[in-house]
Amino acid sequence: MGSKNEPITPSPGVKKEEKMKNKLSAFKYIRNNKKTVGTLIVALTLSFVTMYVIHIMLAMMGESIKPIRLELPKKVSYISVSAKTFGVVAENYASEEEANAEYNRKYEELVEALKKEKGIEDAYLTQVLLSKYNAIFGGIGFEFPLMEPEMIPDFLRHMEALPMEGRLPMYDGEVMVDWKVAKNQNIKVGDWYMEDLWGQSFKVVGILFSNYRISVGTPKGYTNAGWYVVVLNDENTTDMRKVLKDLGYTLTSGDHIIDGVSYKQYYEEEVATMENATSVIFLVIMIFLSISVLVAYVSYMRNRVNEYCLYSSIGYGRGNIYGMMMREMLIIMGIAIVVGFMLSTVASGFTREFIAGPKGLGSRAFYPGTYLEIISMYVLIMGMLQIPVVISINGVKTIDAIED
Amino acid sequence: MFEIKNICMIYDVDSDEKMYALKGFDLTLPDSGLVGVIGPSGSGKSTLMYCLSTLKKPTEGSIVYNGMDIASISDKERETLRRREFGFIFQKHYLVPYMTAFDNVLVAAAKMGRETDEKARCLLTELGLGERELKKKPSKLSGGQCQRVAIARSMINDPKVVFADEPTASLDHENAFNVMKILKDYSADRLVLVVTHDRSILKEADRIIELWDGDISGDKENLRGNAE
Repeated sequence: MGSKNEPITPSPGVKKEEKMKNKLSAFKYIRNNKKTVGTLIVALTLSFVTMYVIHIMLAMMGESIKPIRLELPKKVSYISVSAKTFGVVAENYASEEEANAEYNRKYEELVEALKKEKGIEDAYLTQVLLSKYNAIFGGIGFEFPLMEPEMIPDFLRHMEALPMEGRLPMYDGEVMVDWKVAKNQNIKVGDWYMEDLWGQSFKVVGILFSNYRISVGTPKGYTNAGWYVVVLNDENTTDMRKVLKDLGYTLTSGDHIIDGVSYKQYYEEEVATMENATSVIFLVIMIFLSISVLVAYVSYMRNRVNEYCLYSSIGYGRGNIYGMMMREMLIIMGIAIVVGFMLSTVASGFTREFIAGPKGLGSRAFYPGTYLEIISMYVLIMGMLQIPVVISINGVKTIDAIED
Repeated sequence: MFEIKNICMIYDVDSDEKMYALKGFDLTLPDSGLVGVIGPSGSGKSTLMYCLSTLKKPTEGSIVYNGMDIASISDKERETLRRREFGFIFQKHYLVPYMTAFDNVLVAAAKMGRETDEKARCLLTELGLGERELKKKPSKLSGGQCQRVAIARSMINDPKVVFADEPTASLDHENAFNVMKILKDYSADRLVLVVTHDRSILKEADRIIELWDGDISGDKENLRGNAE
């Protein structure tokens, strides 16, 4: 017999030779509470799919404009130089016509100088048309040249563009449009395309296949975005500011250069805008999802207080109960992530087939970074759930405390 | 089995008006038999049971169980003791609502496997639950059936001691009688401690300890219980 003052060796019965079952099954709750667990899984899965699809939709913008912003300048650039850059100051001339004539002469000089540059196949002064390319959210504008019909075949050859349908522009105010741009703008041969600044439309006479989303047309009087030097360059000569600097020009604020450098800058800004929008949407979804999961989980734990007290009373430690809760949570999250991944992949295919395809938009099926981002968010939510779980675990009492 | 010395339980120990649930008495309990602890509400009978079963730590005194002072062992050891050697039947059955009767028994099992499954099935069958009831959840079982499941759960690990707190409180007369019979049978070679305020269910008890205001007011062998 022992007493309070006499230290007693614990009976061998307590630390038994046999290993005791300490794991509380997580599957029993999941199997027997399909409605509750199912609702949680569906909410998490749908959030996963929603976030992924939103990302695909926003990423379509980046994917779609990539050929225009990053590939097109490897073939063609546009230069508009102000009179100031050419050193033509109106006050120095007797009349406006005289000043204009000098301005045009300087342009001719520039074109000739450009033609002699290494990496430039041809250059000519012509009008350009500002075209549109719409994504699901947002869109961009991009230029294509309007030129004399006899110049078009050489231009298309340089652009590696092939006529798919219709004919080349022959008369004033006709255009041949890239096949994806045509899909994007929902136009076909025979339709009228693009109203310019003066309300003039252009007749679509053909569809082109190209990797550069290039279109080409013939002018109809004075049109749209004005006159530019169209430079047919190669992929190593995409910085027109450098070319102009090498030719001795000092560019001023009135110049407009559309080349690899400026398009790359546009692209980065546009993609950054898209990424910011994605981040904001993800953040909003995550906040709502975290609050919902937190509220659902707290009520779910409250409903199970007696169960946890029973486990504690019949000899399971808090660690065992915590382990069970974590396993339940991991299973729920795991199922939501796996199902979310599968459904996202299906939704991605659906989006490509039925949204991106018909609209002539580019898209990728698989964004591993986005999957990782979403999974990280779920891990973060699990981390946040530790707070109520730990509070709940510390509040687990034995049944005597409830009965008291 | 239990050697209790000067057991004292004070609630609100830091307050000026201390509340003595157990007032420091000695008690010895045997290895087997059905022992009833009876007394009115607030007499300390449940507190005594909770102290013996390690759910509560007495403020003073020692409780020696098989040579070990369970009032001074670690929480982990107390948990192990409750899992391996003690069984519990609470006033409310505390069955897990989403589990079947069968799973409710297995949840307390210290071992897993076919043998344990078979044992749970046998216990429930012996306690009068049919094969169909085994698959039912507590909400589909009657009060008596739930209490039987709780009894089966308390016996799944072959505990040396079963603590039953008002095990018949929510049962009708017939069910109460049946539950007490089961406990009496189990007490042939184990100790079953039944805490109640209802003397009528202790007719078969081997010993009845009466508590009054935190102290023992009576402790007698029940001749009728012993005779049977």
